[in-house]
Amino acid sequence: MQQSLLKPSVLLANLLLAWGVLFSSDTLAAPFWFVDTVTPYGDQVNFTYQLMVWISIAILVAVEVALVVALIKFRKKPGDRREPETWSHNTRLELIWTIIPVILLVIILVPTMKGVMMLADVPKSPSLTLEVVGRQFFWEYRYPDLNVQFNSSMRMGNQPQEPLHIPVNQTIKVVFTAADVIHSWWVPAFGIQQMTTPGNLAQIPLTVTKVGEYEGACAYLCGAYHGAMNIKVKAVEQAEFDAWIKTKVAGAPLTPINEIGRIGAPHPKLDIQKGGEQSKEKPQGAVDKTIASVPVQSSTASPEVSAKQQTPSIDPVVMAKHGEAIYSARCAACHQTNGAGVPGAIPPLAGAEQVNGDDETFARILLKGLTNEPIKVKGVDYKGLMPAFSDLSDEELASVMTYARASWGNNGKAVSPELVKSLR
Amino acid sequence: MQVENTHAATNVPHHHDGHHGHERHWLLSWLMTTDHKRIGIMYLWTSFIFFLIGGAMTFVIRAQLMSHQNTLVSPDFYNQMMTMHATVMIFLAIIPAITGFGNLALPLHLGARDVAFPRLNALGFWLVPAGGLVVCSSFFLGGASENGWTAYPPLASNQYSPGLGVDLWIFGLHLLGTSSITGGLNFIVTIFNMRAPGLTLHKMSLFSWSWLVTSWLQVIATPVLAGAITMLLFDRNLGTSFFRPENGGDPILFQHLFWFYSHPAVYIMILPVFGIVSQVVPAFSKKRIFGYLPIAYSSVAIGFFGLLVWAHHMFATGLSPWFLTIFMLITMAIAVPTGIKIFSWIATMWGGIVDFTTPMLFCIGFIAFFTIGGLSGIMQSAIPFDIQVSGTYFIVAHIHYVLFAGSVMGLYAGLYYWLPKMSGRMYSERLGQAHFWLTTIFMNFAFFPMHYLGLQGMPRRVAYYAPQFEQVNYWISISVFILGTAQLLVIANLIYTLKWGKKVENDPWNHHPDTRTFEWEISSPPPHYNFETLPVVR
Repeated sequence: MQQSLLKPSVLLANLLLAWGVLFSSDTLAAPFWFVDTVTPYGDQVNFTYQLMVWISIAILVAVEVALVVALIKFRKKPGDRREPETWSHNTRLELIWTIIPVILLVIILVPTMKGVMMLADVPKSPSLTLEVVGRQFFWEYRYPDLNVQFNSSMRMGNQPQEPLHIPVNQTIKVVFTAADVIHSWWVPAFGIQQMTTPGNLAQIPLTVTKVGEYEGACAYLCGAYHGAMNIKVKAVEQAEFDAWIKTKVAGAPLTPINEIGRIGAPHPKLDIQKGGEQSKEKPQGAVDKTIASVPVQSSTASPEVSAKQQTPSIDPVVMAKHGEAIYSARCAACHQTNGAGVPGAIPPLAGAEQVNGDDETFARILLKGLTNEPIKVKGVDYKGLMPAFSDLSDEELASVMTYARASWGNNGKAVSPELVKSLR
Repeated sequence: MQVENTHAATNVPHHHDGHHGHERHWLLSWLMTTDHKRIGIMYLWTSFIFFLIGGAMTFVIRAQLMSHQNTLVSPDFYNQMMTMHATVMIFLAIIPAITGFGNLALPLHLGARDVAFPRLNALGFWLVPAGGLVVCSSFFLGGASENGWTAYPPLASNQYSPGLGVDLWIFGLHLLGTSSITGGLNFIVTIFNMRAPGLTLHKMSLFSWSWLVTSWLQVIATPVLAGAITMLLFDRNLGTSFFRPENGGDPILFQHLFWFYSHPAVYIMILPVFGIVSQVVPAFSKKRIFGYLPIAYSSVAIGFFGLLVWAHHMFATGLSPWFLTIFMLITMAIAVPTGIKIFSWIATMWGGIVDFTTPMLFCIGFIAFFTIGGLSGIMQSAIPFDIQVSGTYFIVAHIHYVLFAGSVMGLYAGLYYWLPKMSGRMYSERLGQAHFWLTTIFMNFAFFPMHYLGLQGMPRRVAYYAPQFEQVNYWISISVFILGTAQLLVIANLIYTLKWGKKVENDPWNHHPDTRTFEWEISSPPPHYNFETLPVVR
């Protein structure tokens, strides 16, 4: 019995049987273990994949069958009196197994090159530009034509994640960069993954053809919470997209990410149009007026958006209200809507010494960020990694600080824009 | 290669032990040895110890991944484990193990009495435990590197990875890289200058051929890695800006330099294993290797093309697709010589008398399952599909099929094949076969489902993942635990061999004359200077 179990043929059969059982279970019922793709490019990737899988299976079966037949046919048997054969060449055989792989590779190359060309075809005048900025450990999404930007939370927070919205059947130009370390934006159903590298810009076309919600993840190691840095995308009809955009607060007009992936810096080309020196002198808000006057291509009318831009006020109540909108777009991804943070990863703002302490410490953290300066909040040590928010104006920073102080049982003291200005 | 007439001494007495060998304490005689066989055995012990350490780390990794938001270890510690698992397995287990077999068998295959530079060889060995200690000491000096074995900046910069972890990782790799370069140089000189009379390159064993190519790869590529990590070290400690985007440096430059070494590194880890398989398959088929010259020159082709494909690790980086297309084409070309080897090994068995000993079983397992890793490698050469699966578990599946089903299985074949030669005693065939079957079965249960996870959307190097992947991960973890535990059978078998193993003669495998290399003509274990008179090949 034991002897027969050890026979290679019996064991191989058992092995194949075990594989069969494993891969017929319900969790693995996906079509050939690949996701359904919803972009023309993704369909091309999917097709290439299916083709390669079938060719690979054919080769694998050929190798395994040849191997098993050789083992069974030429195994050493008890009382074997055979002499081993002495040949060690067969030109025809060797030509066959050199030429057939070459032919198969050429077959694979055809759909592959079509995919490469689709990927390289970034639209010159897209109906919408989307900018994706990777940050530890969330995604910042920007629609520079629409002056909308927001941060999408990581999975481990207790706040529902706000999905990225995109209109279906529109060719979108997606521009990628990162603010801190390398990340990778990957949505399997789109067939798309793009690494985001600080100091570098990458562009790809994206056309989603099916309404739905799609999940993705950061696919390049970016630190401790890499595994929690997921992606949610909601592809909707244009009308629904326009309606969603209107719910977003439009802040100061956005400058597009420039050629070297710098965020918030004046675009070099725009700079030339206006005369470089002039733009350097002006504060950011003033520079952006020129950009804001550039006609917006999307059907989303800009007047509504700009109507939402509130004039900063020094009234603490108005400031806190303005600050709440900024907080939900820029801060809540990590610190959560209730200011409680994420245990072990993101410090709370509710009751935090740094929030309720002196204005300067608080403002400095927002202006300069924290780069691995360990920080103790309410007796707990945190790694101290936070992006700088110096792209927000003095008024906006003062407002968001005032909002944080007015919320979650904090001390309620207002912060003035002048103080922020003095610290820049 | 047919050895028609050798004058190798078959019973050289053991006191033929160098000029000042016989008075030393046995431990000192090992620590101070320059004998290539002893150095080879020390390489193998060192690599096996690190293999167990790296394997123990997988238990932590897989335990954490048994549920999707597990709090068993902190994500920082998880990343240390994941980083060090790869670092230890690549630089401290597989590369020293192949170097161990190279040291052990290469001079014997060439009919030489030692390598060209025995002292340099000893230095090369001692740099390995030194490098290993430096790398692993980081656990006790504030935490190991958390950046994956690829250590891409800016994550690996002092800004995002403060502390000593990355610096010690770099110092350790400097030592290990130096070991690799000295070893490669030594083997090149040995192969070109110390072959037995009449042993032309075209008569040399295929194991020697694989080492000729591997040595060149080590000498050409390793200094580039040393340069890249030194630049990173300077960025971290001396304020340079090679890879700092804020000062005009470029993080992508590091990736080019890193992969210029690290892609050839996968061939460094697999070519000598191809060499082992090319010795073991004919030995246990009792038949001359099929297609000697095509196998030899396919190694050369793999080595040459292997130096020109590094950017296929950077398809998702956002470089120009037309630039990447060149790398794709060369990568695909490598499939052809690799296929030639696989088919030639099967053709070697065809018409032979196949004996299912443990080393042969491991070779069969190698051919059967390394092929899966090879095929998923071809799939990943296609740019659009590669972009889709970059940084996902599909890649983890692929590397474990080439490094475990490939390198580790082939190294086990070499271990069982040469163990009687090294120790003079026969291992337990029963334990060896149990080890083979457990390894083969649970290797597939552990690594095959990872393809599925990657295709469905699970990234690699994650301490947390989406809940829908929990069930599959749970079973992968169980399989890994069994796979890891099964490796302890090797220790049992080693103890058995050294204590109770049956003593063996010169050639316990009864090689067919067409397949016998010089080491099987001399005693087991071989005498210090191998050959009393050098073998002559006609």
